[in-house]
Amino acid sequence: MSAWGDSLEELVRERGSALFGYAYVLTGSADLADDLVQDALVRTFRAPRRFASIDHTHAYVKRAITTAFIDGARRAKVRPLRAAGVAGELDSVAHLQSGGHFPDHAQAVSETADLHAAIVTLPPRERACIVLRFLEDKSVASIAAELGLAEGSVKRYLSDAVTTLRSRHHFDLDPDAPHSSSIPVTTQGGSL
Amino acid sequence: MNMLQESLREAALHGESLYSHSGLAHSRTRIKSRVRVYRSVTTVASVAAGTGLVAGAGWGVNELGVFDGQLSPLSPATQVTDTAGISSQAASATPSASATVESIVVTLPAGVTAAQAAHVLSETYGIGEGTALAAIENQVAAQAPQASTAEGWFAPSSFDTGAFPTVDDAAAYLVSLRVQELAALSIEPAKQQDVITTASLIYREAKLSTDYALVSSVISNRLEAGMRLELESTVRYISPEESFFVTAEELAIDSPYNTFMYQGLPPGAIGAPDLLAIQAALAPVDTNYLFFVTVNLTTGETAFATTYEEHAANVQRLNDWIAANEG
Repeated sequence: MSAWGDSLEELVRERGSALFGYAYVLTGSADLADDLVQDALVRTFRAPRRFASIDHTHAYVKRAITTAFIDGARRAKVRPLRAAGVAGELDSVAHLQSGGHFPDHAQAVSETADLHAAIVTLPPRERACIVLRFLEDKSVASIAAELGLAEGSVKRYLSDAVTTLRSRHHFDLDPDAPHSSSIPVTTQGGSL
Repeated sequence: MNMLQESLREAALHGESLYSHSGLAHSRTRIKSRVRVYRSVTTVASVAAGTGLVAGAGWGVNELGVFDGQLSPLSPATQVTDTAGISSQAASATPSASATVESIVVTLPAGVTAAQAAHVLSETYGIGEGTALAAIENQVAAQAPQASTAEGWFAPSSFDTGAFPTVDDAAAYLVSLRVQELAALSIEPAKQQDVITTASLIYREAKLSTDYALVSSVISNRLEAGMRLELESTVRYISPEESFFVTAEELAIDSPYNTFMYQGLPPGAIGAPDLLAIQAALAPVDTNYLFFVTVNLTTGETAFATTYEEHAANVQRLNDWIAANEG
């Protein structure tokens, strides 16, 4: 088998579930996460690249997931292709919109799940910024660099997103990010 | 802990727990076949690039008139050898500011989609694919306002990065080649989109260029009869997989490009046709054919039919061929 084929297999075997989890956070749907990770893997391996380690490859694919997520959303708007997201909508979105709660979960779990369901209704760029900021614990500057945006735009996306979650979905969120925006990227919480 | 953080971490864990049921966990075959499609396109570009590293610079190429718009189709190897040999001599005789610019010959093969072309251009110029695609789309909008999409509106051709130092230069060149081809064939602007679209279908459907005019006749006959085109290549365009056959699920994709669902030509091309396919689109031969099927996947031999019964017999020939050659 080809060298790229081998490293693709190794990456999926060892990091498949982590990458899938990340894509699920962005899309809120297992089907869309599946498509997204597969697209990101194609983007990563379709051109010859050298990766120093599996961590390096993992980080690259993760960035490709974020980029593919934003690009995919943009393209779906422009092109009359496949209707996205019909199958595999996040159950909790419908649940959230019907104003219900999860009877089979504790109240706290239900609330965080509802919050995620609300997050996946945000526009893609806002959603990506929120995920990079709060799940990946990245600074505004590094989010701006990763998404090719101005820092001011990232701040606006973050603040618009939090405003939407507070006003439309009535979540009682802290107005501030958990850390100052100059904090370096950490590897805590699987945020490789 | 911040509630947003907590919520996203839980979602990530929940997502990870769903992984074992995903298509990704099950098989990587689809991903690999998609990667191979891109690698085959890129290889064409990088093979040409490998032999095309010219010691001199773009100006030498221009002076020699190699890029006088007569570039396509060309054999990259021959052209590159000539350029390399002569321009490196010229370079020492006439040094110039651009003489240090490395010149690379890049080839976009016929049939490429705008997305694939954008990929090659992004690798060539070290820019994002979105930027490369925008460069193509902007040039198409500027030079061919009659185009409904950018697809097929750039000539599949070779160019030298020495002569076209930016992606905008390259895109402008590739689009201008196509516009000139259409003008040279005296196609009036209002009809050009349909010609490009038809040619892209012909290019994708015909395995052999000798069949172009016959495939063109089938398209023309079906359109005249008000029949749906029912060309699998249009479904492949909206659902890019390596597989030769399209699935029932793919046939049900609701898109104006799905010619099994909608009558008439799709709204844009499905790839960049070569000049022969454009000529075939303009001049379908006179037949009564309404069907065709490739009956030998190795030679590309294609059988045409007037009635469904004949066509069904041809499909059986294909099935027999597959049964005999499978594995």
